[in-house]
Formats: sequence, structure tokens, C-alpha cells
Amino acid sequence: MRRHAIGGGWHPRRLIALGLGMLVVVSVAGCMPAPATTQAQDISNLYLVFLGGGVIVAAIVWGLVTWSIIRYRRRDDRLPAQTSGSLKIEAIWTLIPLVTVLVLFGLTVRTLEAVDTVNPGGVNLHVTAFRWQWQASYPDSGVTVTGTGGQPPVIVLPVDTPIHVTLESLDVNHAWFVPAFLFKRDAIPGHPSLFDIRITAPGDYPGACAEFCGIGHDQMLFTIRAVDAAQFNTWLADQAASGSAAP
Amino acid sequence: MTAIDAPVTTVAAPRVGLLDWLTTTDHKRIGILYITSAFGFALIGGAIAEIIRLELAQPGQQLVSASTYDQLFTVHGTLMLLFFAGPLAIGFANAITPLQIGAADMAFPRLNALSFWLFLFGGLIVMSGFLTTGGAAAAGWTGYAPLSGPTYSPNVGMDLWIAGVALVGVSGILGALNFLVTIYTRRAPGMRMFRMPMFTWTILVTAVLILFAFPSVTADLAMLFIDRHFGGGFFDPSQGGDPVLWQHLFWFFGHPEVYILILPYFGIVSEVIPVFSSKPLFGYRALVFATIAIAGLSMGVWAHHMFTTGEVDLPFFSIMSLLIAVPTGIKIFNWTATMWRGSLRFTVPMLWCLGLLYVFTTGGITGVMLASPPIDFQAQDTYFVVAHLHNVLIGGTMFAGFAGVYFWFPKMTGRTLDERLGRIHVAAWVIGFALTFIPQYILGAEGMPRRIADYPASTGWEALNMVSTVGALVLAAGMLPFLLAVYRALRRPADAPSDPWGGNSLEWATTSPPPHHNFDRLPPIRSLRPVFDARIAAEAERREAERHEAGGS
Amino acid sequence: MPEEVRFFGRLSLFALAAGLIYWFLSYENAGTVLLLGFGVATGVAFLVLRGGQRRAAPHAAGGASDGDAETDTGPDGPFGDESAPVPTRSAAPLAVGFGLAVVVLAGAFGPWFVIVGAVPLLAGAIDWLRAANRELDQLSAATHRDTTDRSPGA
Repeated sequence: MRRHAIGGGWHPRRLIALGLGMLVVVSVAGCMPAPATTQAQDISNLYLVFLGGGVIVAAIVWGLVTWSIIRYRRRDDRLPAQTSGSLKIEAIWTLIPLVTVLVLFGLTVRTLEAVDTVNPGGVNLHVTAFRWQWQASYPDSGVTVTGTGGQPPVIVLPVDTPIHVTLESLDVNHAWFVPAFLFKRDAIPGHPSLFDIRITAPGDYPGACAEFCGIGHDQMLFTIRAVDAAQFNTWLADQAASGSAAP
Repeated sequence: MTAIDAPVTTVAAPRVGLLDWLTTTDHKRIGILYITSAFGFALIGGAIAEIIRLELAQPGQQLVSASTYDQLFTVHGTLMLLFFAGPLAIGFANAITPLQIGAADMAFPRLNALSFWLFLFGGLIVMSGFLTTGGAAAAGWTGYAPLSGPTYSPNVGMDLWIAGVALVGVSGILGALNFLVTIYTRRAPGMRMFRMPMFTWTILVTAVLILFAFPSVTADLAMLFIDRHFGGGFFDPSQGGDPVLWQHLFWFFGHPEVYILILPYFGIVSEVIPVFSSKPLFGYRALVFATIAIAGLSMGVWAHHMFTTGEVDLPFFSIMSLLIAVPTGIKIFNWTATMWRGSLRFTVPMLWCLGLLYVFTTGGITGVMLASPPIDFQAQDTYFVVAHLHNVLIGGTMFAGFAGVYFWFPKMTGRTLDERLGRIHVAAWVIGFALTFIPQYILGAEGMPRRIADYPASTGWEALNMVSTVGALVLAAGMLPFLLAVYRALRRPADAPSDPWGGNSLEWATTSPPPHHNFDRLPPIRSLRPVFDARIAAEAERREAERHEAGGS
Repeated sequence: MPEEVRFFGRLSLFALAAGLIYWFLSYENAGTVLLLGFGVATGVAFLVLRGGQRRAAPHAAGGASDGDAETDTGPDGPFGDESAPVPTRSAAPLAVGFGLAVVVLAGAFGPWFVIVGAVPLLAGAIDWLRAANRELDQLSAATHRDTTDRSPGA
């Protein structure tokens, strides 16, 4: 049996990797975009809970493993006590995680209900995905915006208004993804999809296709331009009058 | 080392020629064939990954066209998952499971060899798509219809992908049957189910998963083939078909598949940690039931890959996916408890397992996040998922796979891999993993979609992509000490003892490598650790003999 | 009941329960069929194994739960299978594997690949079956045991 006195060379390296890892994991928290819809705010809150729980779990596991490495390094030939199990301990680390995931599930369901809520009134938006562009139309006023060649469409929407989106695809699976909304929905041919958003702050929010759809997948971009309701109505009226598709 | 260590013969092994390898039905040789071929596919898949990372390091299309890029990530995923991670586990299972249960060979040795050849040819067929004019399959390893259908992937490379995946599926099913029957019927007397080593248990459970998962994807592939060549419309809405059906059948396979790709490796960890902690595996029965629970649950979570379709029952799949975290956590806690108050030796296999405990844990945590549909609405199809899957597949599967290689290399070849090179390998991969994939978690959270050949400079994603690419190069470099260690070891004489590590299970009760029929004699099997028991008994005998001598003189 | 049998029973119960719950939650066809199918298949395996175990060891039916008796494993146990002679070498697996791979290529390149692949496939299969039959005959001659559901070292 070969003896390996790994000792000092390993512990600092591992602990440094550990420390870095924890720092980075925590910094991931700051890396979801600032939520720009009410639904996104709910999702962001939920994510922080999961992240917090995750940091705690990681700290416990990493702490225990690191402690073991330092404290239980082989020092002599004696055989340690051959403990093979403990029903009590097994029960503890089965029940606590079980309760934890049930709580997480409860919070998940609550957030889902908030995200799924459809509020009456507001604006209807019809989005059609096809290889490799987007078309957005406003059925209430007959305005349509279509992206072309090198010019992804700018989809103008009002702030603080329920927006009912219907999403369709003309060919393969696509997905409508706006990172600032912390949301995406697949556009599947034959399955029109409905969802609601409510934008909270004006601004330009980049969007992209998020379901691989062929060689133009990475070019299939769009921008959501959120403006206040008055500006939106003006824009919409202008578009309807001029009959043009330019933003 | 042990009472069984006295070599029965020291006749030099005859040189094994090509014909021997082509016609072997010996599970030990077939295991080596699987493992070597799997690593061959891994090197190709890894080279592809380097190209992908080099392309993504900066905005703009520098190295390959979008069309080539799409083929590359498709073949990368297909090779790594179906032709490396899975077959590597089967290779270990072949080499080790019959030994661990005290059998002379698998129940169906020729079927065993057939399974290997089907896997090898399947992988070659998938790759042959690159040689065709239309290029290899380019619909992702998940092959979603309608993109993989006749209109959007008319190239023959897509059919080659279907053929190759079908072959490896048949290979897996035949192998699974073989392992199931072998474990059920070929155990040595005394080797009850609850005395089987944990690795063998995971192989048994994995075999069942393979049996019930692969037919689903095989059916899916057959339906896709009919759509492509016989005017079928299974996945074509204009003919009354449904693209979502492809996803249901694919992920009913695809999710158990990822547990097929982790459970045997969890089994390896359960073998290595007790040996180098000088303690029994903590909570063996709990681990067995946790493994069965993971397998059962894994059959019921498939649509968490479909949360964003808007077509599936979100709460059902969310709760099932969250529940899987519980038995997985049990495993991690039991391994830690095995080390607790043990006497730890930091050999290379043990270092890999320690690395897994650190790295796999974060993958499990992000998996729990993804199990929550609202979070998944942001993270799905972004680099967050890419980071998660590589976190568990590298930090889990590959770390444990390397542990298995370093642990069982002496048993399989009679030579030991150089510890120093092994330590460099571990360090490079822990650091390389962090550099490559932690930036990807961040990129995904920020909204970088996956499967994109390029991204606009205005996103600001370049810096993290560059770090990730550097990490990928570290991973590639980290393979060099490993390959060097293998090369050097194979050039040395095969003089490893039967039990170089102080092992517990029956594979250490025979020579390294074992004779053709595996065992000349077996130690008594009265517990989970027959070789450990025999070693303790031999120690006691020796001390008794010394005492008599001292008393007599 | 030995663990070998229970194992499938547990999976079957779980899958059938999950499938039923899933149906009433979602009314989704594909997933329900898959889950219930999994449940039925493991249920069949459970019943077959239980039947086989009872046939092989009827007096042990009320015995230890997970094979406590030492003879419950190995050749004398309910699932035991005395070792067939271990086949040493055979080109049949390579021939069958290669043939099958070529046959499958017909999907990509056209039906005549079936003909090309059929040659090694059939040659290998015939060689395999002959060898298996030979071994089975040798085994029957060597031992006089009743070989119920033996497989001849395929």
C-alpha cells in the first residue's frame, strides 16, 4: 500500500479554488438582467431564494468535505472505527432536503400563478417566427412590423399596460426570448402560444430566438422598444396611417 | 498484500494480436475495447469543442461557417453523450462487474462483443456525415423535428445520424439485458443482492433505465425516418402531426439517459471513497434505495426539458424534478460521511472523487434551479443550461470516470498510472472546469442563447467568452499528462499486485490482470467487503502465528 | 420475496401510480402511454420473475426477504444458472455487428445496402447459432440437470 503524503501542496490550492468558486457563485446573482416586467420581478425574486438556498447547501457540503480533508488525513496505520451507517442521520439528511424542496415547490407554484395571470384590457400583440426573422403585428390596428435582411425588427410596446402575446411559427421550432423579461416561450408550428407581459420601465430590450432553428438562428434578433402609453398610441396611429413597416 | 495475493502463476501473458481483439468474447477485453473506443470518441468530441470555443471567443465568424458550426455542436453532443460517457460506463461495467460478483464472464459473452461492435460502428457512422456533401447532421444532439425532418434537413448526414444513434441504442439495449441477466444469475455463492458492491448495483439500475428509455428514442427515430423518406407526417402539423410529440418521446429517453450517464459513475465514487478512507461505505442500503429512487423518478421528469413549450403540466414535472435532488443529496452526504473520521489517502482516484464532491454539488444546485419553471423560463436554451449540463457531466461523469480509470487501470492492465502526472491532470481539470463553465453560467443568466455560431459585439459577452475559451484550452492541455501516463504505463512490465490499493471488493481478489476465467479461488463472501475481511483475517492469522513463534522460542 | 423480484415490483408500482396521476393532471397522451407502459412492462417482469422464483424454490417461498440463505445465490438459488462453458473466441459478433451496420446504412444510401449487409449478418448469425447449439448439447450431455429457462451462452 503506497503512502501518499500529499499534505500542504494540496490544501491551499483546493481552498483557493473553493473560495473563488463561492465568490463567483454569489456574483451570478448580479448577472440576471434587471427585471423589466412585473412577471420578471416575480421570477427574479424566486431566483434569489433558490440562489440563497444553493449558496447555503454548497457552503455546507464544501465545508464538510474541506474539514474532512484537513482533519482526517491519514496519519498512521490504525484502522479507524468502521462505522457503516446511522438510521437517524440518514433520516435527517433525507427529511431536511425533502422539506426544503417542498418549500421551493410551493414558492414555485406561487410564482407560476403570478406569471400566468392574464389581466383584462391592454394591447394585443401577434408575433410570428419564421426562418430567420420576426414579424410583429398589432391586430387591433392592423399594423405590422417585419424584420428584413440585416435589420431586425423593433417592436414598440407600451409601458404599464397588459400585453397579450400570441406566438406562432411558420416553419420549425423557434423561441421568443427577451432576457430583460426573464422570459421565453417556444414558437412551435401548429401550437399557437399565449402569454401576458407587463413592462414596468421604458427602454430598449434586446431579444433573440432561443430555439435552434438552422444556420440563421444566431441572426434572428429583435428589439422591444418600451415607451409610455401616449407615445405608443401616437406611434401606432402613425404606422396605421402611413401603412409602413418601419419602426 | 492479502492472503489471496500469492500469484497462482507467473507465466508471461502471451502477446495479444489484432485477431484476438477482433474475435474476443472475454468481458475484460471487451471492457478495454469499450473504454479505449470511448476515449477515442471523446478526443474527437473534445477537439470539436475546442473549435467551438475558439469560434466563440470573439464576436464575428472567424474559423468556421455557421453551417459547419451547427454540424460541429451537433456531433459534439452526440459523440460525448452517446459514444463516450455511456460506453465508458459500459466499459467499466464489462471489465469490473463480473469480477465484483465473482463470475467467470458475462451471461452472454458473444452478445457482449456484438454490443461493442454496434457501438463502434454507430459512432463511425455518425461521424461519416462530415464526409458527405450535405455535411453531418446539424439539428443538435436532440434532433428536434421539424428541423430534423425532410424539409429542413434533407442531407444524408441526418440519416446517418439516425442510423448511428439507432445502432448505439440497440447496442445499449443488448448490453443492458446482458448485465441484468448476469447480475441476477451469475453471482457467486454468498453474494446476495445486498452484499453486491455499490458499483454493481448502479450497473443493475442503469441497465433497467437503458431497457426502458432507449426504445422511446428508437421509436422516435423510426418515426422521423418515416417522415423523412416515406411521406409520414408524425411531426408535421400540415399533415396532422405534432412537433411536440418528438420532444415527448425524445426526452422520455433523454432524461433517463442523463441518469444512465451518472449512476454508474456515482457507483465508481462509492467504490473509491471507502477504500481511501479505510472505512466502509456509509449507509450502503440507503445508497441502494437512493439509486433506485433516482432511477424511478428520472422516468417521470422528462418534460422539464419542455417547460418553455407551454404544452406541458408544469407543476407535475417541477415537483418530480425537485424531488430527485433528495436522493442525490443523500449520496453526497453519505460519501462525505464515509470520509468522516476515516483515514484519508489522497491518491489520484481519491482526488478525482474529492473534485467531484466540490464541483458536482454546484451542478446539482443549478439543476434544482432549472427544475423551477419560472427560473427555467429565463435559463432554458441559454448558456446557463450548457453550463449546468457540463457541470454535471464533467464534474460528475468525467471526474468519476477518470477516478475509475486510475483506480482500475492496475487491475485491467497490470500497470499503475503515474501519480504525479495524475495529480497534474486533476488540477488542470478542476481549474479548467471552473474557468470554462462558471463564465458560461453568468453568460446564460445574462441571456446568451445556446447553439449560436456568433453573437453581436454590442452584447458585451466577449470577455467572458474569452475566459471560457482559455479554460477550454486548459482542459485540453490537462489531457496530455493523462495520455502520457497511459503511454508510459503500458510500456512498463505488468507487475502490479492483485490489490495495490487495499480494496474491498472481489476484483481485488485475483491477479492484475485476472486470468481468463477470472478467479482461481474466491475468498468467503460474508459481507459487503470480502477482500477487506480476508485481509483482516490474514492479519489476525499472522499476528497469531507470530505470537506462537515468540511463545515457542 | 427476494430483492431481485421486489426491485421490479417497486418500479412498477411507482410508474403505474405516476402514470395515473399524470393522466388526470394533464390528459396528455404520449407521456401517459410511456409512463403506464413502463409500469406495465416492469409489472410483467415482476410477475415473471416471481413465478420463476416460486417454481425454482417452492419451499423457500415464505423464506428470508432478501436472500438471507447462503444458497439463495449462485447456481443453487432461485435465479441461479450454472455456468456454461465460457466461449473463448468468435468472429460471429463482429460479422453480425458489421452486417447490421451496413444494413442500417440502407436508410441513408438505399435498399441495396440491405443485400450487402445481409451477407456477413446471416453468415455470422448462422455461425453463432451453430456454436450455441453445440455448447447447449455439450452442457446437456455433461450435466443431467433440468435446464428450464437456460440460455445457451448466447
